[in-house]
This record gives sequence, structure tokens and C-alpha cells, in this order.
Amino acid sequence: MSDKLNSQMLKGVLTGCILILLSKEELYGYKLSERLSEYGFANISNGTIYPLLLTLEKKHYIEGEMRESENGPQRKYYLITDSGLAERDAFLEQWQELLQSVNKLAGEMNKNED
Amino acid sequence: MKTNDLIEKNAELQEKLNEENSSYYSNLLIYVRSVALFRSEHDSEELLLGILQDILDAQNDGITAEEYFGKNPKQIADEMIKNLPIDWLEAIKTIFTYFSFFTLFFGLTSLMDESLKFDVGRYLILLVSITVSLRFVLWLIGYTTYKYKSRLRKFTLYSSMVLVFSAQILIILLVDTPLTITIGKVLGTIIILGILLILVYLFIKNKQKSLWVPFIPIVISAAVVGVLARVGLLESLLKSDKSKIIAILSITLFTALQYLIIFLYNRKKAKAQESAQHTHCS
Repeated sequence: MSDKLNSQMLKGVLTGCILILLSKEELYGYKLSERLSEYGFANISNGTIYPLLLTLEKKHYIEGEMRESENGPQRKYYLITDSGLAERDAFLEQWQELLQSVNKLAGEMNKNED
Repeated sequence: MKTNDLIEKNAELQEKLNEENSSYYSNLLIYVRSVALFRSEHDSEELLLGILQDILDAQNDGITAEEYFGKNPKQIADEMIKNLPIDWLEAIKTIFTYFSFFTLFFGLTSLMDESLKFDVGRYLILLVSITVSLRFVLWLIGYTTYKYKSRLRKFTLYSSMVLVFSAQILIILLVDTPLTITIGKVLGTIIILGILLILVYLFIKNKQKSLWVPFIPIVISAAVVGVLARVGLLESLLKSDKSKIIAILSITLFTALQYLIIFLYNRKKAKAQESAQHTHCS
């Protein structure tokens, strides 16, 4: 993804993606950034996910728990909560609508250029 | 995990950082710990430890801290700090500790006045002045962490602290207000010991406040000189006109001596660690 993407928009989208990822599995910071890279978010600096995680925790969409990681030491794992799942669904809905609208506009733009 | 353990673990893991990452991370650490002073220390330390662990993972994968965390650590830090809850209990404890410490130090230098007068007006003025100064120094730490190179930053911080300290001394020496009360010898000693006890208690309970450790020598000096003065041992010295200056000088010297000892001790410890590392490497 181009890192010229508007940062406010990126934050909103990232937040939604974090919720999606955490609804699939429990992750700690580094693992979460690895997952995001796998899905194409490789160019964002991973530092930006930390404030987002804090905000999500504050809103009780996710919870942090100290767990033993694979290599041994305790890490703070994040889990999604019920209200987090609802928020994730709301995000997906909004995203679908947005996607459709923008695609429609882009489609017409291409038609006009033909 | 308890806050103390978090801080310990953090110090432990920092050793594993390579030079470049270590400087990146310690800037972040200093910045967050200073700027987030009244926020929940547990939450900020948990956050900092998590970031450290992640940076170490990145380091193991050949990614530098800057590549991983980004080129805008200050911005990110500001956003994170905004989301940390303010810990009112901690804030009050901190303010109270500072208040007692200040009273102890100031009270002693003025209680040593032969006339046993305590200038309440000057005390209040100093309280305001020092609060403003400390707020300024705190802001300065945050400001210089990400703006200045290490040398310039150290110079700026030290010189501003010296300036600030001198300003307070000047106020003590030059400002006199009509708002004075008289405190008897016995009462004065009791007050000094009482404050000292409170400080010791708070310090023991509050072990994570390694921030306060540098001030211990000052407190010890002030307490010792104060009690000695009250008990009459320094009477002849203090009967002179220059009693105030002598009091401040003696406390300052005694404090400087303690700092010197601490500094030399730390240097010896660092040298011992270095040579231990060298023998370990070779």
C-alpha cells in the first residue's frame, strides 16, 4: 500500500483491520505487525499500531492479557471482546459501502476517459 | 505484572539492544517517562516493555528499531501518552512527596536562623517558583529529547537545572516578606523529623520512583544539618551574620560530596562491568 495514503483514513482502516485480525487469533504487538505485513500493509511504520491498540483497549473493543509466548517470555496478548466484534462488523459494513461508492465513481471516471 | 517488575524487566532487556536501537529506544523511554509523569506508571511501563520486546523481535529479524517503529517516534509517543489514564492517586502522592521534600529542604535552611523565625511568605514564593521551574525542566526534557543531539541536550538540561537551582538560592537569600512566624527549637526539630519520616515512608512504599533517588543526598544533608543546628551543635557558626549563606553552603557541599561518592562508585561499577564483558567476549 502506498504510504502517501491519508493518515487519518489509514488510521481508521488500520483500526478496522486490527479488529479483524484479532477476531481470528490472539496476537501481541510484533505478531500483529507481521500479520498486517502479510496482508500488504508492509509500508506503514509499525509504531502507528501502538496508539491504535491503546485506543481500542480504552474503548473495551480489545483486552490485553499477559501470556507466555512461544519462545517463553510473557508478552501482552490482545483479544477481541464482544463489543469489539460488533465494532468489527460495523467497520466491515461501512467499508463495503465505501468500497462500492468509490468503485462506482472510479468506474464512471474510466468510462468517461474512454 | 507489578510495576517494579516491569521496570526491572525493561532494564534487563535493554541490554540486548544493539547500539543503534539502544539509542533509539532510550530516547523513547526518557521521553515517555518524563512527559507521562502523572499518568498511570503501570500502564506506561507495560506499554514501554511491550514495545521493547517487539523492537527486540525486529532486531532478531534484522530490522532496525527505526525501520520497525518509524521515523516519528515523538508523534507516536504523544499519541500513546494521550491514551494513558491519569493516575490521580499517584499524582497526589508525587506532589505530596515533592511538597514534603521541598518543605524539608527549605524549612531547614530557614529554621536555622538564630531568631527562629520562619518566613512563610518566602516559603510560598519559593513553592510557586520551584513548581514553575520543575514544570519547565520537565517540559525541557521532553522537548530536547527529540530535538537536540545528545551532547547539546545534556548541556542544555544541566545548565538550565543549574540556573533554576541558583534562582531558588537567590530567592532564599534576597527575598524577605513580612509574613513570618516563630517556631521554637523543639517544635522545629519535631517538624523536621516528622517530615523526614513521611518521606522515608513514601520512598519505601514507592520503590519504583527511581526518579527520586538523586535527591536523597540533598534530603539527607538538609536533615542532618537541620537537626544539628537545632540541637545546638552548630550554634557558634550560625550566630554570625552570614548564617544563611553558611547553612546553604554546608548543605550544598555535603550534598556535592555525596554525589561525588555516588558518581565515583557508579564509574567503578561501570568499569567493572566493562572488563567483565571483555573477558567474557574474549
